[in-house]
Amino acid sequence: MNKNEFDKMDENWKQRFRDLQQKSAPESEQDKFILDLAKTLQEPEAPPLLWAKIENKLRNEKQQNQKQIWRPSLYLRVAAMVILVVGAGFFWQKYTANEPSGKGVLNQTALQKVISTEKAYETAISELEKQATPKMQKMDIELLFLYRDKLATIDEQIAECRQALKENPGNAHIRRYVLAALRDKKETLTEILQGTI
Amino acid sequence: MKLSQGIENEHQFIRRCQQGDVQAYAMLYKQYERPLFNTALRMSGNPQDAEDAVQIAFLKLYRSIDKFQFKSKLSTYLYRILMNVCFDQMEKRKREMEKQNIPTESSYSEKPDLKLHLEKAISALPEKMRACFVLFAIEDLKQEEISEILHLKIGTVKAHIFAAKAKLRASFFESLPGELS
Repeated sequence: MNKNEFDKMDENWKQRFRDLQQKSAPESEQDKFILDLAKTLQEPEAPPLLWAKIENKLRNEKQQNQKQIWRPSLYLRVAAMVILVVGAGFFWQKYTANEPSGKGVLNQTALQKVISTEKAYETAISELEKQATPKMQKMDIELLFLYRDKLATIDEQIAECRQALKENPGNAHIRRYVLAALRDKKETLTEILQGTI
Repeated sequence: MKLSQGIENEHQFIRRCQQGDVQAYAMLYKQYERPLFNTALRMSGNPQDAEDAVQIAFLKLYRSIDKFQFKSKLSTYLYRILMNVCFDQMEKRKREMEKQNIPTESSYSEKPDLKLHLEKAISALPEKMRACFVLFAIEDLKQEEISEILHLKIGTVKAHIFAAKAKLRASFFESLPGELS
């Protein structure tokens, strides 16, 4: 609206007001004038950057909420690790104490066989991971964290065992433990793909 | 745009909001930005406060949408949040002004006399009366909806609107003559 149109419209309102004034119009007409004029106050536009500010705040809020969901999972993960470490220690002690020395060590042929089984698991896992990643991205956030935690815990177990195997590659118990962890990881990835949980 | 006309399939839309879908909030904002900002501006009389109020209202909506029980329309719920934010803001502003001994004054831009006079007269109405009048006369909401938004009985809403009109009438037709020549 240009200035002339604006002035004209304003003049119309003033004229209407003066008319009502001069003829001492009834209250209903005066009310109508006020309500009509009130409608013209609908003009303000929201500031152009207002949504950007709101969006920013909502995204920050969303991030904070996600961190809050993550926190208990972290505790759970630590608890799971403690249980695993204690369990592994117990398992280790029990077997090494009961077995004569040398019995817990794999011979060359058995070792090769175990290594090739591990490799087969690793290949399968690598393939499953490729397929599971996009599916995990679409998952409900809590379920996603649950699976991520579980996989991270398994990976940590495997890494710890691998570290131990560097010093004692033929140790049958550690190898068995690695295989169990690999099997667990493969099953977890299969679960994700099948959506069984 | 009337707020009562709304987003299609509102329930499904609310579910998206409950899942934290920021895009859904963007759609909601697009639908209601002007009337919400307009209402906040009429309540606070200050564009900066109005902007803050709309921001806070959306953030509060985001935080409380999980508790939404589908008993009212989303627009009513959003309006209720906004009005509560505006009341809190006005209370805070009043306390600040009293502390600093500054006279309360709205910061409307210069406009033709009649509109400016109406804006000032509206901003001088008591808070609840102003809220009822703004939602009824400017935003065109039904009295039932206003009663739901403000948690007031329908009779109280009607009485506030009636009293607001009387005050504005007096302000226009008793005090204004002579200033408008």
